[in-house]
Amino acid sequence: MNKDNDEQLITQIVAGDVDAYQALYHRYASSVLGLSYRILGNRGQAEEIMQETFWRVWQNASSFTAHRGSFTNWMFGIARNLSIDVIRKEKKVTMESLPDAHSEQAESSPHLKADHNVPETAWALFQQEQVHVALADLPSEQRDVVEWIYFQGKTRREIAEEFGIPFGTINTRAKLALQKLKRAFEGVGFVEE
Amino acid sequence: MNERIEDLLAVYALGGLTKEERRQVEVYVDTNPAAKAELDNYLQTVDALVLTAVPIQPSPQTTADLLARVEADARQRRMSMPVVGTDGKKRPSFSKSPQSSPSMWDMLKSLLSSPAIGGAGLALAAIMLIWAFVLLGRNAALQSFNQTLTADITYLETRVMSIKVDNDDLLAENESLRNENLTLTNRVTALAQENQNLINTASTRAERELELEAEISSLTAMNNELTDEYAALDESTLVARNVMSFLTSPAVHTVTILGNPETQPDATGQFVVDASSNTAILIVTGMDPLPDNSVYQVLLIQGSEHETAETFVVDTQGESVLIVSSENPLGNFDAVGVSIEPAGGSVQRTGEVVLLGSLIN
Repeated sequence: MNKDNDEQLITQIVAGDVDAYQALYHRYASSVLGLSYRILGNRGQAEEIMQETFWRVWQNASSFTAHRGSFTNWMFGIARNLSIDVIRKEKKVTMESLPDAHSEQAESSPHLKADHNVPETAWALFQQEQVHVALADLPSEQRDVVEWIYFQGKTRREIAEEFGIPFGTINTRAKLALQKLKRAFEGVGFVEE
Repeated sequence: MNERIEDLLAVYALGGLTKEERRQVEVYVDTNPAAKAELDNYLQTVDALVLTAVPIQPSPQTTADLLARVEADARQRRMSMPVVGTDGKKRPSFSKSPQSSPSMWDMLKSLLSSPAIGGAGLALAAIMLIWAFVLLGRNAALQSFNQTLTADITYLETRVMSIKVDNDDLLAENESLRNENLTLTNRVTALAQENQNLINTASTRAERELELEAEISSLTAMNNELTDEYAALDESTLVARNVMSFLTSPAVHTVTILGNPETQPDATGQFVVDASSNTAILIVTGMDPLPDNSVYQVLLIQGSEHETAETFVVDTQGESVLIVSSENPLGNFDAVGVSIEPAGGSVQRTGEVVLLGSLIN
């Protein structure tokens, strides 16, 4: 993810630069749609969420501050929160396991079929595979916490009530999961050391 | 370091905290560079989680609709932004410069300059102004109420968290007590079993003691019988020795005495005597058993006088052996006989003579 370039584009978007906005959109639209689909499991709803996410990016670009995290944190956070809101409203929980979701989306992803830059596509596919491996390598209880919070939008309180896990345990599992993932991602250059 | 807030950073990055918890974390990391650095690491890692979702190209229509919407909004914004005219003055971007053709704003100005429209507009503006003041007041009240509610919610959330911690502690303590109770119960069961084993052992020992006592009693009785038997055998042995000694003396001779042919024809006796001795041995056979109130008694006869001596009974074979003794040498007597007397014997013969034999050669 081009962190410095993203923030430069945001600055331009704040100034009303539609071209900068389009560049940002084309850079991240497929990822945002993929994330929403991963959470909702419904293409139509995911498209709406993606559209609303980018509309809010356009409307609220001036409120983004790098102090609270990167632009992608902010943007994917909007998409995730909107998707979780849909789930809460419909009380719908997707329990797709990672491998199934991976294969299902892989089949439908035009990314693999589009006439894109081959090295970039290959690198993207490699990254996805590495993230899947890193997640699959987590102990199940840590992977569950990541799934429940990030992809299903459960709060700590909901997890504690539903599964009887104390807050402290949830905190520890989340911490260990992210630490392990960070080490795995550092190994393949996804995150900075 | 504030341990609690540090523990929340990962969950914050994943998006699992409540609004108030997020605020607490943000306040903390704003003043704690180490925590901020840790949080940034987590956020960077969470960013990569997006890659678990395979990218999907949006439909062309969705893209077109969004970009059109953004374009329209961008145009609207540009229209509302001030621009510098050729005369150097700043105007709204849609204002009419001297060298530009009449714009929509000019037309609107001309329309508003008519009296009727202007009056209605003023009235409307007044109403709107009043309504704005009302809304401001209500907004202020709602904000105040919202603040109160937020404070209450924060307090309650803190209480719930505290109660949850207490509850976890109590659950742990309860589990510990349950385990201790189970341990003690098992120990009680083991002790009860041990106690029962001891009772069984004691019972077995008591039974064994009774058996041994009974055995001792039996052995004691046997011992007493054997002692009596030994004493009897001892006496018999002594008698037998005396008899043997007497029988082997050279002066001893044997006199046969015969039974009464009318009353005891089968009775016979051997009187082994040494004439110079005061002692003799009488051996009888074939004599009839007597009732319990009668005994046989030896008679030592001299002329018409007689002397009673030992009494005896016979066994089931009608036999008996006894030593006969007198104060006088037995050579002084003429005959020896046996009579039936009352139990205990008699000083003088009272009963029938059943055996008789002469001692005179």
